[in-house]
This record gives sequence, C-alpha cells and structure tokens, in this order.
Amino acid sequence: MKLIDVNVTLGAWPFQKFFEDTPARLEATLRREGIGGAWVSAAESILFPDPEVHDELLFRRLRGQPFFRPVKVVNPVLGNWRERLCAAVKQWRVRAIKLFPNYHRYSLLSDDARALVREAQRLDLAVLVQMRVEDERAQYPLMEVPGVAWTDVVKLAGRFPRARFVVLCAYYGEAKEMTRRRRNLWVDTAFLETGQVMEQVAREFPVRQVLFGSHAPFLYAGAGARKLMLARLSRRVLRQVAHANAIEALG
Amino acid sequence: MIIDIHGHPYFDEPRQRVECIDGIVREARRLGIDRLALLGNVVRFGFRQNARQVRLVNDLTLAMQRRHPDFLIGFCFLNPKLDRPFLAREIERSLEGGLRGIKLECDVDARDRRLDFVMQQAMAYDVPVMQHTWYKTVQKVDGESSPADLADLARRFPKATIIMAHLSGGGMRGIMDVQRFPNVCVDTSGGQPVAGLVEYAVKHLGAERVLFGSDAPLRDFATQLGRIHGARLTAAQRRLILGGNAVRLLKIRH
Repeated sequence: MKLIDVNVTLGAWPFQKFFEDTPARLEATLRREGIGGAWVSAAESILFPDPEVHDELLFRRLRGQPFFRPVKVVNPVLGNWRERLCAAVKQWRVRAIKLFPNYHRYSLLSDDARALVREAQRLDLAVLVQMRVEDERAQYPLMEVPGVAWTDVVKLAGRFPRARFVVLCAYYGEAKEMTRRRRNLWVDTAFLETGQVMEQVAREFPVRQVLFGSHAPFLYAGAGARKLMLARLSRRVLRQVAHANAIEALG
Repeated sequence: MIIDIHGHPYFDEPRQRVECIDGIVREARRLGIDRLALLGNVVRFGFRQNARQVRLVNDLTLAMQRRHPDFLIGFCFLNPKLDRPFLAREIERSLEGGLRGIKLECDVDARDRRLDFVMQQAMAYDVPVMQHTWYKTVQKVDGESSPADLADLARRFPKATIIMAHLSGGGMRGIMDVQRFPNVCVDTSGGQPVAGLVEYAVKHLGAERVLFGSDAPLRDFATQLGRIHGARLTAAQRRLILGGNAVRLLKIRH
C-alpha cells in the first residue's frame, strides 16, 4: 500500500540534527518506510526572515526528483509575497503553500491571511497550515511558540469554502473539532496520538478528511508509517488515508 | 523478545475494573509485545495521593497482574510523602504479591530526601525504581522531576537501579544529565517520537541502558514501536532496547 506523505520537511533546524539532510537521504528513509511520495517544504523558511531564499534553494535541489512535490512557505506579512508566489507557481510548479502563522506572527483572521488565501484559491493551490513544529512542552525555553488556534483555522476555512486547507500537526482534539466543522479542511496523522489511535480516528472522524503525514525528519518516519499500517482498519479506510484523500486534497 | 517497560491501565474512572486491562493486553500481543510493565493509574486521584488512594492504585495493579500473570509485570506506585510505616507495608505487600518494581510520579521531585527511604527499600528488595522525569517549557507540574533531579538521586544511591522515564521528555540534556551514572537507564516512552533521540541515547549511554517503553494507553503501541524500528540502530542494539535490557533488569526468565 503506497503512502503519500503530506508533511515532510528538508533542511536545517536549530534544535535537532537531522540525519536526512539531503534529498537522497530523505527519499531513502521515506521509501524504506513505504512512502512513495512526499510534499516537502524548507525547514529554514520557518525562521529565516525571507522564506523565499530557502524555498528557492530547496526547489533547485528538488528539480528533476519526482518523488518530492515542492511546497512554498509564504508569509503574507512580507512585501512582494504575491509576485513571488506567482513566480514560484510558474517556475517551480508549486501546487501548495504552507503557512506558519505562529512563527511568522500574524493571525489567520487578518487581512493579510485572507488576501493570501484568496490568491491561493485563484491559483488553485492547497493551503497547508502548520499548527506547530514541536510539542510545546519540549520547545527551547527561549523560544516558546504556542500552537495555532484551531478555531481560527475553522473560521478561515469557513470564509473560503472553495479553498482547500490541509492542517498539519494538529492534536487529536483539535483535529476532531476542525474536521467536524468544515468539509474543505483535511488533517494529517502526524501528531494524532492515543492508544489505538487510527482505529479511534476511523470511528470518530470523517475519514475522507484524514491524510497520512509523518512530519519527518522531525519525527521518525517509521513511527508515523507504523501508526497507520499496523492499525486494524478496513482496506477502504487504509487506502483513503494512505493516499486517496491526499490526491483529492492536494492533487 | 519485546518487553514494553512503560504501560498503564486506562485512566478514566469507568474503566477502573480489572477486566478492562484485557483490551490493552490484546493489542500489545497483536503487535508482538511479549510482556508489558504495568505502572498503575498513577494520576487516578491527582498528584498528591493519600495512603488509601495509593493502596487502591496498587490493588488494581495486583489484580490485573494476577489476571495476566505471564504477560503483565506490575510496579508498586508510591507517594514518598506518606509515612514510612505505610510505605514499608505497601512495598512489602506489593512485592510479595508479585510486583517487580517501584514507580514514582510527581508527588515530590527526585531531590527530595523523603525518597531516601523508598530507595533503601528498593535496594533491599533488589527492584528497580522508575521515576517520571521531564524538562518542560510549559505545563510543568509542581513536584515534577527533571533529569537533573534524577541525576542527584542516582548520585546519592549509586547501587540502586533507576529507570528514568520519558526519553523525549528529557531530551538530549536529560541524557547528558544521567550519562555518568551507570545505574540509570532511560525508557523511550513519552511524547512524540522525536527523531534522533534514540540514536543519541545509544551513543551517549550505550544501547544496554535504553529500554523500549510506550506509555500506552496514552500512546499508541504501533507508533512507539515505530520509534525503535525507525531509528538507525544495529540489529543487536535494537534487540537490547526492545527486550534484552528489560529481561536483565527485571530478571525475567525466558
């Protein structure tokens, strides 16, 4: 059963040393865990003042590597984001953007965020919202970054019912509430954790809105893969989460 | 052999019946786990449990272990703030009832001298002590131990066998805290399966000091096993972590 991973990062992060620091190593690790394709953004774009710098470096590294689908990090507070986004769509065939509102310090309910989603919708891009990068309890003490408010995600998705929102690294309770309220919103499996979690998800979530995400290399890809592949799920549900839902949400 | 060194019964009140452990046992077995350490419902009555409450927690652990004697390895949960005669009686009752270790949570931190009596008892009975530890940036519980607190305990009791719970909670700093205390092992339970930490623990402590733990049913067995299978380890290291070390620590005959 092929897995499409909607939550992958490549690059450097100050608080972890990633073994998978090249496209080749990352692809090898993901393939070993049964992952057949990944949507990937640049790690450095989370903290670097201009995400464009590392986005472009990443896209150049990934050129000619069909395993990876590039995701552009966009900060709508910065000037020129609109022109740069259009250029990335044209030059790098970007089909999705990723937002880090908590790291980039803007509200999803702001005019800036709404303008960005409007443009993403016009360009038919999926909007990935990263709720968090790390468990808040384990964050470096000088850099406390609260998770994104799930209620803001729901409100934004409600304002743009034809846009596609993919929410990454939501906790179980957040994910359950969001998928219950909006049909144009998908959540990934990366931070969903409880005993027999995927069996519980299959009972309590609209399964068509759940996507496989490993959050590699922050988390062990093997852990995320086994969370899904060792769960007792029907073949239909497994196929949906493993790849079918991702095709619907991201193309 | 796979031994999960860190498991609990369900925490919600309606499932504080002995038969409720059956589902957890079934799921663990399905995923290839051969034995599960049962640490008790350590938060059933909050973090400051009185003597009656501690007894109730251990009553359930004892009953569950009796129900699955070839699978569950119970630990005696204690609040070190309670008086010594009670602690002595409870340890004796629990260990003679077949429990094989002592579990400490957040009643006092590991530097507290009220732990001394518990540690002396543990050494007398030759059983390991598992201490909850975490370095928390947010949501810290009053009385919660950090790995540095546990290192202090390990220094004071070099002959005691101590398990530092929650590798992801302590992180790299936690591993550094306990590196020079060979009587301390760390379990891999707790938090998300953060990549690189298992390898870091193996590099700095040695594979023989790392124990697989899930923190089920708060966490998913499959995901937590994936933490070990997803780490870059040799087959020998993986075998030690998944079960070899626990066999040695808990003196399991197999």
